[in-house]
This record gives sequence, C-alpha cells and structure tokens, in this order.
Amino acid sequence: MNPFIDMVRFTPNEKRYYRNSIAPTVAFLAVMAGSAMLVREYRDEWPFEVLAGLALLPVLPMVWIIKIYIDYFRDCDEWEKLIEIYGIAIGVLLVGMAYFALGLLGLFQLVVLDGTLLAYGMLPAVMLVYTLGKVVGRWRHG
Amino acid sequence: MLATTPVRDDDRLTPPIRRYLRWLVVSMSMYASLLVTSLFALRAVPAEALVLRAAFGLLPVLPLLILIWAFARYIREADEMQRQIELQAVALAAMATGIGFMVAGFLASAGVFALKGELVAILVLPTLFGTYGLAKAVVARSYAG
Repeated sequence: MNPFIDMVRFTPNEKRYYRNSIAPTVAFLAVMAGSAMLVREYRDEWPFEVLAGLALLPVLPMVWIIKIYIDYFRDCDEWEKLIEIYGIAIGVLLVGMAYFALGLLGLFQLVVLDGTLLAYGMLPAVMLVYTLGKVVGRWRHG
Repeated sequence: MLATTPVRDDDRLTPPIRRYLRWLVVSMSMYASLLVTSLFALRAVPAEALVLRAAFGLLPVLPLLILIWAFARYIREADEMQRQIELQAVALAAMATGIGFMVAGFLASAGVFALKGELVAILVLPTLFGTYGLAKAVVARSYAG
C-alpha cells in the first residue's frame, strides 16, 4: 500500500464528495469576489451594518462546503474516518504552530504581519496541510 | 488538546494520560521560562543582529513542539474510544477556529475593525486549545449518551 498513490485512487464516496463540492466552491468564489467588489465600491456610501453583512456573505457558501464535508465524513468507513481526522489534526497543529512562530516574530518586530491576510489565510492553510496529514495517517494506519 | 486534561469517565488516570500530564507540566514550565528569557535577551541584543533576534524570538516555540509530540504520543497510546474522542474534538476545534478567523478576516477587510497581524498569529493556538476543550466536552457527552 502506498499512501501517496492511494490519495488519488478515489472511492465512490470521495468521488461524490468532490462532485458535490464544485457548486459551493464556485459559489464561494463568486460571492467572495462580488462581496469584495461591493464593499470596496460603496465603503463610504452604505451604512456600516450593510457593509458588515456583505463582508460576511462568503460564510454562507463556506457553511455549505462544510455541510458537504460532514455528509462525506458520515459515509466514510471507520478507517477512512480516522484518516480524515488525522489529516485535520495534523494540519491544524502544524498551521497553529507556524502561526505562533510568526506571531512571536511579529511581536518582537522582526517581521511585519498583515492581520487581515493572516485571518483569511488560516482555514486555507489548514486545508492544504490537511492533505499532508492524510498521507501521514494512511502511512501510519495503512 | 494540549492544555486541558484528558477526561475519563471513571476519573482514573491511565498511564498514557499520566505520561502526557508529566510532559504538559514540563513543557509549560519550559515555555514560561523561555518566554521570560527571550524577552530579556531581546532587550540586550542589538536591532541589527536580526538572526540572533529571530532565534531568541522563536525560543518559546520549542516547548510547544515538545507538547505537540507528547500529545501525538498520547493519541498513539490511548485506547480506541479515547483516541476517537480526542481526534474528533481536534477536528471540530480546527473547523470552528478556521471559520472564526475567516469571519474575522472578512469583517476586517470590510473595515468593521482592524486586525493586528501579530495578535492574529499569536491567538490561533490559544483559540484552538479553548475550542478543543469545549469540543471535547461535546464529543465525550455524545459518546457517553
């Protein structure tokens, strides 16, 4: 068993998950672009509450994506569930640690950090490292 | 994960939990002392010595690496049920923390408030530990029921 090759051999459940993820991902990108454009355009004209509501709009497709992931997770067998959770755990611990190290460097004014970018970037970073975590999980529990 | 005590229904500490708690105490003591050392050292190191400043600045990361290693070992040694609870709690905490920070990012980009970079970066781990504690209580209860 090769954990790297197994990553690209999809089970029917995984295929369904990837298929179902397309619509919310496209929706997320579209809503994100639209919301950013509107907020930038009407920052000085529209009331604060409307701007905040617009800024939070991309959370809706994100919740949709998570719902699809939870459905996928429920349909996984026990071993697949363990690997998925391993992936998330390793991903979040590594990203959390990297953020902490960056934060220390920022705190001691050794690097300049953009808070908005960092806040945006946390979830995508976890999702990227999660893939690595899944490889580790498959390798350990193969 | 790291900062809360693993819960057992029968309130007895198993050898893996005891080992983990020992390392938790060691790493947290190291963290506190290295943080203080790092703060004092940075006052003495000139601003031009960037590499040295970075090295001192990153000193407190070392005990956290030890803590993560201890947690990983605890997960390996824990029984199936306990491992399932721990890992599910970490996964839930990861999702909640990730979405929380993303929401904060959206609001900051809309100008609702300003986010200081170093504050965001430093807060990720403590937020994760906090939500992990809550998630673990929820997951453990779902297994108990």
